[in-house]
Amino acid sequence: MPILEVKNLNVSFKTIDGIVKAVNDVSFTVEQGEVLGIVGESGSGKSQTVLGIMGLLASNSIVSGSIKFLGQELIGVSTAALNKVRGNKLSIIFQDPMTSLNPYLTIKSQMTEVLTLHKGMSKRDALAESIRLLDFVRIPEAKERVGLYPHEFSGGMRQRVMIAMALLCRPELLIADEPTTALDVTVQAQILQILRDLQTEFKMSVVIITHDMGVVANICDRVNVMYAGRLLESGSIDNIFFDAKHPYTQALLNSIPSLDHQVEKLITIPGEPPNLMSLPQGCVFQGRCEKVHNDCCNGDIMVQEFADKRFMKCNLALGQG
Amino acid sequence: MIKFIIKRMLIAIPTMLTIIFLVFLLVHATPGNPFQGERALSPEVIKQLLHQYRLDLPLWKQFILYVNDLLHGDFGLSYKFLGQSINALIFPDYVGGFWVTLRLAVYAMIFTVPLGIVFGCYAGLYRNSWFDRLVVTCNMFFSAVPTIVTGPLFVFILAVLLHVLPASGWGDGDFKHIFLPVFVLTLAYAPTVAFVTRGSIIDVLNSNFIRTARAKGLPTKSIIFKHAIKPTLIPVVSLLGPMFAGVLVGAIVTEQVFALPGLGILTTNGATNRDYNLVLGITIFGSFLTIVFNFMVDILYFFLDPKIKQ
Amino acid sequence: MIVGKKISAVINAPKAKGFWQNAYRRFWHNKFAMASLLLILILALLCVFVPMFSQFSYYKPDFTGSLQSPNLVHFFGTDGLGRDLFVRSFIGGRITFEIAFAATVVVLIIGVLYGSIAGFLGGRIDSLMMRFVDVLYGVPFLFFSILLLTLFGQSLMLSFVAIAAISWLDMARVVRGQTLSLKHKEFVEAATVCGVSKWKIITRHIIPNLMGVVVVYAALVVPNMIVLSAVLSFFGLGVMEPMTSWGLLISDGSQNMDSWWLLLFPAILMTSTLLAFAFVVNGLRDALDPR
Repeated sequence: MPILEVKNLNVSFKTIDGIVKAVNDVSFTVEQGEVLGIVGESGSGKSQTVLGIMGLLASNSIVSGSIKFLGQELIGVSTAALNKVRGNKLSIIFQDPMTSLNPYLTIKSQMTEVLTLHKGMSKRDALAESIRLLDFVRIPEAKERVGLYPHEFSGGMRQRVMIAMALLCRPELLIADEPTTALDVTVQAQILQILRDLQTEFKMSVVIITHDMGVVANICDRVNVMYAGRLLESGSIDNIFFDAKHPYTQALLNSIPSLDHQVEKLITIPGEPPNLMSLPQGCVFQGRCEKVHNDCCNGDIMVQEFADKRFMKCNLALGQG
Repeated sequence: MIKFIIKRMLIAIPTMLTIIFLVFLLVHATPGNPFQGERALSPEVIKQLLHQYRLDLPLWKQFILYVNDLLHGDFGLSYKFLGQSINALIFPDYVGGFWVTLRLAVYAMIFTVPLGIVFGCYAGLYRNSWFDRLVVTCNMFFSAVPTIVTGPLFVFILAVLLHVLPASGWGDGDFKHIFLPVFVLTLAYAPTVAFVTRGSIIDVLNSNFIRTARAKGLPTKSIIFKHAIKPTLIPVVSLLGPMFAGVLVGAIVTEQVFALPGLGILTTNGATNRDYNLVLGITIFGSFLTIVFNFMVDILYFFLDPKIKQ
Repeated sequence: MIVGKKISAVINAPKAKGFWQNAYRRFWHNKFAMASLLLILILALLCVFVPMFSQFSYYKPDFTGSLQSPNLVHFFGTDGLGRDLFVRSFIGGRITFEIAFAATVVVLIIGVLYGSIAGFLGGRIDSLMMRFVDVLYGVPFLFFSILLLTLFGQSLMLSFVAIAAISWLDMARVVRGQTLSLKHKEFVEAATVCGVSKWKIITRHIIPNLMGVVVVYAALVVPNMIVLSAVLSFFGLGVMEPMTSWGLLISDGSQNMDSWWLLLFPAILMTSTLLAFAFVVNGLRDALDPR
């Protein structure tokens, strides 16, 4: 049984100007011990997908579909039921470590409260366990520094604290929402290394969201490619990097600058993503696709499935174009 | 902590001195003396009076002596009530002066702050509910319309039309007499506190660290009381210092409306009788209170915000 | 060529016209603000013309007809001396508006000049000037106003000019903040590079671009001054009989509540004016300062 099973997830937001369709009919699964990457440009709905899993969407959101975590449905359940799961078996690390910790509480009090809540630990045991995890994410002198406030840590250190905090209850699934985007390049590498070590150590599943193909290549087993709220292609890391089938994935990979050969100009995908308030009929990528043809502009788009849970959403017959 | 207090003091003291200097200069630089043309006083008597009030000395000497008096907590003598010390007028042995004003202001604050914070939090938590709209509308109305308009209107409704409360006067400070002034004052300031609290809690609940707290599976109660309350209160606290000074002044205006024997009457008497020294004393006392409140708020801040502690 | 580029930046300095047109359009579409502005204009016109054309005088007592409740001859009734409250309300409104506008003009001039000079010169002069503002903030405003009225009591206008002379603090702070941010905009730096004098930069470049916030704050000062003049009337200071103001009328009315009209009509006039100003300020803020 997969750890996480997302089926036909839709997320939209009611705004003054109209309804924004942020996530559209997204389905995927995460297996035990698997690292899944979700890639896409900003606004592709990748963050909203995981916020939907965590039940953290803004109050003006409308959600439908099904999210099963360890066999338990998460959509439509009460906050109390959700609170039994999140922070416990299901954890998340956010993009911006500078603002994601409460500036008015010490690291100690922010960490121990998770353990006393979910594991019923005493304050002393909780503190000892918190220090152990801070050591684990390589925070020097964790014992002394656990009593400090967040503003006394650097950005990279705060992200380590966030990771340690997310792992306190040994979650089955860790979601990392662009964990390195806000950090310096050197710090990024350290954080990724920590995540990788933790994943092997704790044997947990990880969903990592990023727009950085380098991060994906570094850490993931499988990749979901999202665009304009839709999941366009999904496959193993080898499939995606060496045998991408969807025109968008191909374009995305082409736009990675390479050090191997000199280029005149950086390759980009021309055009802009569609307006999420008025999506076009048919394929969402039609406006920027090199291989677009008449079929793309109306009706349903074919889901083509292959071996090994690989699929893509495109009308293009294989081998064509 | 001590370093922080000393630093604040180093700002507060020169501020106070500058204010005293400015106000003193303004009063004493005006030509003429307060005893001219009042009654037919003989030149000897006037000379005697000028001497008693040190008005025969050069201005700088007067100022130094005045500041010296102030340092000893002495506001000098009244021009009008000859020989009366201003201290005895501001802090009388009977019910009146500052004591009435202070009581009014303290009662008003006792209601204003908790009500404002609770209503504000409630409005912010249930944004766009009817209660939220009520808070926003009340803030709009009561920050536009002053107590001198709302006060008489309430008196008209409750005292004249319905006869449930006395229209004015202090009585012996009993509930019936003091209710309406306190109510009007509370109504003038509580919506502002509520509005600021509301904005603050809305900001805080949308912040990333509250999202983290929710992601940790914390129950709503502990999210609000452990994680959200402190950051919500910080902007409210910074409002309270100027606000208490404002409520004191508001209390003085309210005294006028309800004919209460506080600092307001004293100020009016001073002003209409051109008792400069009295008005000067009250003004300086008011500045002193303002500065003290701001000072106390700074210290409160120190305890609330860990970033200042260093 | 850098200089050439900078010159084109000067030419391309934000055009006042487009900004004001947009602001005007936004304000026009704000129903509350427009209705409020209309109400203020109507009240102002009534304040000018009612005393001019009324058959009654605001000061001449008529003891035969004192304390009449509102009727077709005296729309708002008469006061204890038999004077027509309708005329007195609007002559009082006239005085109230006059005082408020005069004070606002003084606040505008001092606040804008002080704030823009401090912000533009920056450095030590700026911190010194702002320190002075901080000190003045410590002065309890109402007492100080009373003190000034005690000193300048003979002339009402002079008193209010003096009061305005201590009410410019907020304005100066806001203008300074805005100036500081404007100062680093391209077109101001460009003018500096081109050797335009500081004075000219302030008057030609900074002040016109400050107008947005200044208008909003000016619209805030007017109702504040109306309230202040009314409060002072309650202290028996300011406007003197037989002349009157809204504050004085409300004060009289609250002493004589058995004749309800004496309180109610001035209170309604003042409340609606103040609320109208509040809506106008909100509208202006939305129109001029879209964030």
